[in-house]
Amino acid sequence: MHKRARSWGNWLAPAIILLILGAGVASFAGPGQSQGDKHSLKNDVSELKSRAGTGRLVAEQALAGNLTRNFVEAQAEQMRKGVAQTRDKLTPEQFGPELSAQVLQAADLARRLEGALNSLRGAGADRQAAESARKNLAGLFEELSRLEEDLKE
Amino acid sequence: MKNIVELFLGILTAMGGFVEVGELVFSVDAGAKFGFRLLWVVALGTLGITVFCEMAGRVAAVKGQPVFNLIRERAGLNAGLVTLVAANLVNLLTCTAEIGGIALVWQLLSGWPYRWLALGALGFLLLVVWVLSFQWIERVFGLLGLLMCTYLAAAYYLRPNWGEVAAGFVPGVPHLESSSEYLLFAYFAVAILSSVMLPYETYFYASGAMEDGWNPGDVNLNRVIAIVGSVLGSVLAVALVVCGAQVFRPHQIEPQLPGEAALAASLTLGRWGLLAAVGGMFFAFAGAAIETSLSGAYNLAQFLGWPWGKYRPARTAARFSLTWIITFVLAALIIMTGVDPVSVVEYSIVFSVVILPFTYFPVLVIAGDRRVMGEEHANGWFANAVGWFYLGIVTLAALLAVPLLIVTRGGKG
Repeated sequence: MHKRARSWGNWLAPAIILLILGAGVASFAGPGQSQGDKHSLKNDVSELKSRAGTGRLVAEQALAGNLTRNFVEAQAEQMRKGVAQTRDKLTPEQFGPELSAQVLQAADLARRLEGALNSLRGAGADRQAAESARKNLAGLFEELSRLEEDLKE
Repeated sequence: MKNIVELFLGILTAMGGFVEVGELVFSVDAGAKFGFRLLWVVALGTLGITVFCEMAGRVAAVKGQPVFNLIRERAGLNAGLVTLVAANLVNLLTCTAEIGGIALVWQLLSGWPYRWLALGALGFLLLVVWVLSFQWIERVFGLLGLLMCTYLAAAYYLRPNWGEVAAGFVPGVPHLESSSEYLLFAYFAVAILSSVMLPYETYFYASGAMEDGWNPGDVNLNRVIAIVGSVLGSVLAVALVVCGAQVFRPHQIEPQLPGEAALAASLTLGRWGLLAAVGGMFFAFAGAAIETSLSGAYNLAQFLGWPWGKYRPARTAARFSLTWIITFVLAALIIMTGVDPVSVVEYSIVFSVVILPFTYFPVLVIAGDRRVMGEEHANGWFANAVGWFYLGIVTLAALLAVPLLIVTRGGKG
């Protein structure tokens, strides 16, 4: 058994190094480094739509009295940061010229989504502000859904 | 009576310590993306982690040797060293993800700035591991991690179609719209398998058996804890998938943050449900952070033959103690650079699956060696067959993980 174990020891080291190097290269050079295409723009829009949907859910739960003020503020801020990261990627240079119009539309929706999440964050105990944020987020969810459908075609 | 209490505590702590941030994020997201169709992968992974934890615990109890002693002894210095470096890098990455998760959860409770909370988490973890004994660490974080059972209650009150839930345990691939969705399904299958079978769990379990002073008389205790604890723990993972499917799928939300998962609890159980879920996540993530840092220290000390163990005073196991302290500090520093904690979670899961075969192979070889383990305690033909089957599964998953990460653009589809 020892001999067998030593023999697999011979291939184990290079195998691990290869797999780890492969994973490392993939992590840094794989996703997100090449110029975006329609599919990756659709993914970005889906992510924004998902944030808008969560924001709406948070607003609904806040209005129902199920969430604490700190939770609403922190959750809205964590989501806003994610939206800002996605928005930074949404420049026409990152995508082909044929997608410029949709990229600009997505970037605009991302900016509005950031604003809506900021409003939700600041709503605190103000039910009217929370309701307004909920409506705003629901509207953005619909707009982002339409853009996502356009990009699927 | 003492044995029954130990068994009960062992099962509960194994259950409470089962879920960590990667499993939470991927399970809820998998439910949101694919409904119940990935539940069979949770079951597959649960059986796998049960098999290998039982073997590692049995070897520790019978031979008094934890995993990395075996790896060095059997694989030789070079291959062992590479495995050690890879395993500890993955441990560091997982610890980083857990500290990021703690900071996010604390932010949900306090609203304070994320980086300061990451620093606070570092201080908290250092203090806890320094002050508490191994047994108390296990009990506090394992038992309070049971607050995660809130998700069980949430899953129940969300009234899923139980027939569809049961159908999800039948292995299969659903009919999807495009090839990219099939690839995404495969990526999530690999990620869920990895999150259930994280390698640090085996290192920690075997080293913990030695911390608890197990001997050959504890082989049955080991078996019951490994089986029942893992199965009950996986019920929590199933509940997370159900919550994802019931709450987020209808709203077309793909949750990525711990706070989003907590919404499933608030929706069904109100504010107290929310607080219990957030508390459960804190104890689960903190427990996992401690396990990964201690695993790193166990691995290094066992490989290099240093004195190790929480049961020793820090001055007699100084290099061991320094290693877990450095692991915590490095992990916190990585988080404080501003790196996206969700990305760290994803990479920790993918890198973990890559080293799974190298973790489990030596355990399987030793546990099946009758000259080492004796006739009474060596694997029987069934345990060997199941072990080799799982080694094949995790090797396949390790080979697919990186290509799937690339083609799905980091799991985005």
